[in-house]
Amino acid sequence: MFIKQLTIFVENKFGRVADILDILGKNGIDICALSIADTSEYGLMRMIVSDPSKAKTLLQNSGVIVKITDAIAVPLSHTPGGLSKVMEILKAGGISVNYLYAFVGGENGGAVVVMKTDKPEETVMLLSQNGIKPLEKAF
Amino acid sequence: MIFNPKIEMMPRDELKKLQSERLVWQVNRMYERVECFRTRMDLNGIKPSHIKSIDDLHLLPFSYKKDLRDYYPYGLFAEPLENILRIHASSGTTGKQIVVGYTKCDLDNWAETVARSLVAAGATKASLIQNSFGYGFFTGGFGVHDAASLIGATIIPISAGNTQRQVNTMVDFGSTMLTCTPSYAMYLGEAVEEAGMRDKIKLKAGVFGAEPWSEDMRHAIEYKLGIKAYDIYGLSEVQGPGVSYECEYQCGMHICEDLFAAEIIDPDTGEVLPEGSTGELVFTTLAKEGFPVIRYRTRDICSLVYEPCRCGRTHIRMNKPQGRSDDMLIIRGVNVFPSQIEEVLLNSGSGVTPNYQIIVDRVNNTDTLDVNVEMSEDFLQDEVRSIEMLEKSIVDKLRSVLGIGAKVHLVNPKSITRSEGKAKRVIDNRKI
Repeated sequence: MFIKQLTIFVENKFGRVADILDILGKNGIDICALSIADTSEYGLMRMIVSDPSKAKTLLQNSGVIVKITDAIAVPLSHTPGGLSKVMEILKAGGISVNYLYAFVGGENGGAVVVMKTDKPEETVMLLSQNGIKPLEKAF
Repeated sequence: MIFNPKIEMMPRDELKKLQSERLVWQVNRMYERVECFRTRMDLNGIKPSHIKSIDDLHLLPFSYKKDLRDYYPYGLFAEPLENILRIHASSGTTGKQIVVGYTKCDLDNWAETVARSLVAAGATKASLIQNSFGYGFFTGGFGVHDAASLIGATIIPISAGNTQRQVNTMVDFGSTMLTCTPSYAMYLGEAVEEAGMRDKIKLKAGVFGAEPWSEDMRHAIEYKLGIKAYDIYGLSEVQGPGVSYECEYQCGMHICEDLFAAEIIDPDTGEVLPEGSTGELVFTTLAKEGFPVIRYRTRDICSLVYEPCRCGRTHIRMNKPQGRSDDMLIIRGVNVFPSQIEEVLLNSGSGVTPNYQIIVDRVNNTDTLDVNVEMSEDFLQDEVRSIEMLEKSIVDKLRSVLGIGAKVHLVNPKSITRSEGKAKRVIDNRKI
């Protein structure tokens, strides 16, 4: 139902993102989507990777605070209004989006949006009823 | 000026006789009424009949701040509640506050001691005392309030806070004496300076206490407000302000020895140290009815001065406390124990105490409290909002437990320096 997403605590410190990405790159972890939420004191990095469990262990061993969380990955049709249609469904269903980021990698070169809503289970059900099946894997 | 010359200038031998009589009365009474004290006496094989004079004080068992928590709320009271006129409370070492109670006689004695202090600082019937100590559970506000009434001075019960109103009141009402914490006095001094009101105020003296302050700070306050600044000392467990106070010569604070017997002990062995030594200050209340204490460990480190004072008062003096024999911090006049903060953090995550560090500083003459918390998986969420809510809940809980505001910062794991495997919990950058 959900896709596994890595959430990483990134302290505001020069070179921190580079360090984290270096660990993943050197160990053969592929990243297909990434977003950083920045606050005045720290950042939160969220990413979809090829092997979440392995990535988590690698980062933990390097003293990085990391957690695997659930997110909803919604494939979009490669046509104008694709995302708009999804949002209309959620709006009609009374669901709010907490955060959202996207990557290209769906069928036919379409985009996939990764999102977190206030009612995750309901969101998946509602989308499925409308013929949109969220992905459980990006790789 | 001396408020009560008969007592304050009592010859030492008479004072000792008075202390002895009162100690015997206090010990007998507490043995009868306070279970905790009786049990400790019995365990040590001491009977009230062994106590014949103040020289026998060292035979008695110590009492501790922890007792107030163990017997919370009324277990250490020596009077039934119907005889208690007022309750005050302050912070304990953990979440629960400590509670003390006063009978009519206790409140009268308390007012008397603070009156001695205010009069030593120049207060008379004609004074207008702007009391900017907080009113409430804190003993500062009411302590000064009752004393001013006893003197017959005019009290302005403005309480702490609202600096603009404090300055306006000072100017418009013509306050002649200010009472508050020294850091608030500094703050008010700056506000007066900024408002260009220094020539408009009529303050002559201030009596400041409830937190440590230096001679440099005294001079700065005196300069900014154009006053003479006096120190007053006290703690809720013993009474509140007025346990000791400065006279015009400002060479230590005279202890109200008719009511409180002081000792200096080695905090590790508990042995009484010779006259003039520096060690932990221990108080025994000689006339208190509601909440008496025998050999209460204040954890304040200081020394006592026995030489006669030029002011003519015969009561011994204590030097400003130089530190603590425990980890208590005094922040904006409020007692804060690191264990209280630890408890809040423990209850905020998933039952695991994160690594944390408490940073205390003084910025623009106001104490600041920052708590750095190492980020851990327990605290990590994929939404910024959830983390911010968690931070806010910690800030709220700290405010309700400590009674003062603190800033909370989430920091990287392992970023808090550890020495020999143990994290240094408190960094106090204040130069007091």
